[in-house]
Amino acid sequence: MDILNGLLYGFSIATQPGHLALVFAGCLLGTLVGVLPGLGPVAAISILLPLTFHLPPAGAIIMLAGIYYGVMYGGSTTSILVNVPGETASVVTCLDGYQMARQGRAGAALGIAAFGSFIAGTVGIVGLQLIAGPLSSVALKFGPPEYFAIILMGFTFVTYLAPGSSLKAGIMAVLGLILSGVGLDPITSEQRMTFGVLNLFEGIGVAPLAMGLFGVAEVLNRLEQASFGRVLQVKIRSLFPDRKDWLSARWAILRGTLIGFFLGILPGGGPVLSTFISYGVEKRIAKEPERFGRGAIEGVAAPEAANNAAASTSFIPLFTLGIPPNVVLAVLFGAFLVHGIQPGPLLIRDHPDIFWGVVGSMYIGNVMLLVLNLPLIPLWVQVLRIPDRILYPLILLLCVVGAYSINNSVFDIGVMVVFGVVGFLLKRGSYEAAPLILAFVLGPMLEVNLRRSLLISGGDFSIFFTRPIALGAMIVCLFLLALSFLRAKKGN
Amino acid sequence: MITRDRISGALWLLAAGFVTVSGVNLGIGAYDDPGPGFLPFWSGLALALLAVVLLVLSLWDRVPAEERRMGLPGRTGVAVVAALALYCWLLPWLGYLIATTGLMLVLFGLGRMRVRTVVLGSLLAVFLSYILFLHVLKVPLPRGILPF
Amino acid sequence: MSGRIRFLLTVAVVAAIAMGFPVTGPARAAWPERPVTLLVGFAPGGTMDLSARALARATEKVLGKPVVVENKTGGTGTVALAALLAQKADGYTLCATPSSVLIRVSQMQRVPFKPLASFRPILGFTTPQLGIVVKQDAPWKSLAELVAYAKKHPGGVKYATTGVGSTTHAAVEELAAREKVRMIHIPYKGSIEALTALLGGHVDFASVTSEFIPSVKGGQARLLVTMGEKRSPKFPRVPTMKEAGYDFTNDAVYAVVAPAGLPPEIAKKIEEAFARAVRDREFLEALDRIDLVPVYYNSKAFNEFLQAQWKIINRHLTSAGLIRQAATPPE
Repeated sequence: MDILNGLLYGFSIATQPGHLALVFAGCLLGTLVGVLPGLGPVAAISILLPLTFHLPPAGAIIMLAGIYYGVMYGGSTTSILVNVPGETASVVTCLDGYQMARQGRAGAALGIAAFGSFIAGTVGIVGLQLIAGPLSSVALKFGPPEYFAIILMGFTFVTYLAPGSSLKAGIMAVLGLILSGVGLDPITSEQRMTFGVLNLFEGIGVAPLAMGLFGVAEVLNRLEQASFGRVLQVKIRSLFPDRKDWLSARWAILRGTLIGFFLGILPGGGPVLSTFISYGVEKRIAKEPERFGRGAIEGVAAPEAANNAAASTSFIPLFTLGIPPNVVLAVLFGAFLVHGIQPGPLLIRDHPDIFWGVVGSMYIGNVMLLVLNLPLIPLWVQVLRIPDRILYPLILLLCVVGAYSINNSVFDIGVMVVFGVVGFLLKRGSYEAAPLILAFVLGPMLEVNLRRSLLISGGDFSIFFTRPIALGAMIVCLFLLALSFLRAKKGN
Repeated sequence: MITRDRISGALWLLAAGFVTVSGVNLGIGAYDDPGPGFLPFWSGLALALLAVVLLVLSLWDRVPAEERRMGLPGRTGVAVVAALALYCWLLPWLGYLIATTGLMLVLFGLGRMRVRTVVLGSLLAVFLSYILFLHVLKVPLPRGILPF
Repeated sequence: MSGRIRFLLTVAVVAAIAMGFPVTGPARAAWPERPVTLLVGFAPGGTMDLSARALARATEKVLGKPVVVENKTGGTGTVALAALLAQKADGYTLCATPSSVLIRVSQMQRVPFKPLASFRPILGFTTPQLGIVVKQDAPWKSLAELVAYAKKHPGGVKYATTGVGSTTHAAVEELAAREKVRMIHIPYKGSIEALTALLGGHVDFASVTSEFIPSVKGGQARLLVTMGEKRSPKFPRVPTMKEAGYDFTNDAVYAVVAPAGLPPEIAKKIEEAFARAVRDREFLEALDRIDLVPVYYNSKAFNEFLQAQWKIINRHLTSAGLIRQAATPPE
């Protein structure tokens, strides 16, 4: 079956009324889970997994996939409106999205996020359909040294993420790396810095950490600045992105899409890493990098495009190699097995209805999400009209239930509160939380890949400089470090 | 500016010391077989280095920068944090409905609104979140002493 | 905080206590009156999770009450077991766990429970399929060829497993100790990561659980050996470790446990319900699809199995030099 016939066949499956309803249900639920902080795509999909046991396999996969990319759409909403990241993949969106909202440009931010997601998602599906096979074999070439080098590149970008002192950003990044090491050692299972606390065995959760450092800290900070109870009226300037917004965001969307497209395919890379890197790239190449962190629309457009492109292309390794590249896809992998279907190179041949059906449904789902989300923007923007004394308690409630819902654990609420206070104090000391959380997310990957690389090479560090992909990434790292050193010197 | 950097720099140095020592205790391993303490050890050293640079710069830089107080949360902030901490402690016993109603009463109450608004707002927020999380998203919220 | 708030708070607390008291009573024998929660210590989508979900569905049919699976991951499965102990022993919270968490993990690291005393075993219901796979284009057609190559190239063969101290690691340790070969162990965080490393050519072979099926059936990987008592019905031509001459069979059994101190009349009901559930046709089909072998240990048999396993594994781990003594006292 060639690609065109395949696609037509896919649409014929995806447009069956039952499947249309499932796509819609998946997208709607995904958006909801995305909007709510805490609960992520993994939780949503595993909760619904047993429900799909009754469905035919194609329908089940179509719906679960819809949840995944729906979450990527919805995740930006609370990041932009109230500085609480809906998902880890939307942490970066807080940086400029929330600032835009404070300047009355929430509509523009939400709009560009939705359009950016749509464009990137669609490009991702085209990639899934056209070049799935060759791409995934390239991705497999990424071994521990390549991962280490790429993640190290992410770390050097981290120092560009936050406005202000590079030294303080560096301190935050190292602190994030240290915090990510809390818990059982990823290789030998020994306890590290857990103080014997059982709940720390699995480490500190990313979601409670992010909700604390961003959401709770922001509420505490506002309590100090504005006298609580005063109605702080933000003048809402626009409901949708205007011509100027589009002009500044279009290349950012394209670059974000490309970065997400390739990082999504990497096993372990996925949407989260792509948002950090695309933000760093935007700031790096911007004419006035100091606009970032103060409401630059590129800082919203690029990462939101990246995470959607990555969500689409992360299906490639599952469909072509039978390897799920991240946790969400691992749950989907489970769903395939439950239905007695082997994802892998034979999937397109043995189950064309599933492969093409899912591809077709993803095109339809992306359109549905755009149609679903655009009318919601004027409604979401109204959230900013809610007086602080009503909005803040509601934000805290959302954070509390959200933190609880991840593991059904009160401990996570405690973690969130502690990091809320920490985030507040950091802000007082002119430290930015963003590098901390980014290093925290990348830390475990950095560590295991460093240790595995050294195991493979027998302790020889040249392994990072003798393999082409790793060498390339290392050169970029050194170049960036040199640049930031020069900049710091010039600043003094 | 200077004071804040000195205090935070000293804190980072302390933390770095702790992390480095625990790295050593865990076992740094060798380059061809890095142990569990490998990363804590090196990142602890890196943090110490950065903290020293920060401290030195803050000693060097004698320009009287804008001197904000180190800034601990004010009374409202402390009340919010205390309410959240109490909530964590009571939630498993009282269950979601009761504990959260209590939390919302405090939080809305801090906004100095009419008592009726506070009570109704709290009940509504708790009810809606309960329906959403328990029934739509199937999160098993703690039941506590209530039978549902 | 103003006086009004304090007043409201007091009212709320008093109301809560007043409303709460009459309904809390001792657990009644009419189990189950409400949904039963089955904790799982591993991520959704893995074999432990999928088999527990299949079992939960089969048990629902028997009980007529929902059995809700709740994933509490972390600490190689120990977090879920510790969470189980925080619950009342009333039969409404149970935990599905591989026996290896009680046996191997508890000896490798200090865990906050007594592996052989804190729990009441309900049943053991299945055993995972383990195997050693190489890439399809690798020169080795059998385990013997692989071992011969490793002997010629000491330290030149790298292998991936699902983690230090896991059953998949133990299998290779056994082989290496017997043949006196030195190979480099690259631990990964589960079968899927290990398989990815294998297919990318970053290791020479991988010792993993049945997640290898898609790659083997899809022609990207070759299965050299399985580790069951008998050959896998899905791969009847592939020999077992035992047939290849190594004294190793997979010793992990997926089981359900309750907190110790479960009232005997409730324990009996739970055991009966699960004993009927494991005969459910859909359940058996679900196991077959992920290549899990159904087994059945009742409460007593599983308890004896655990006691015996503890000693065997302890001998293995100490003689392999992985531990000096068990990190957690068993009782």
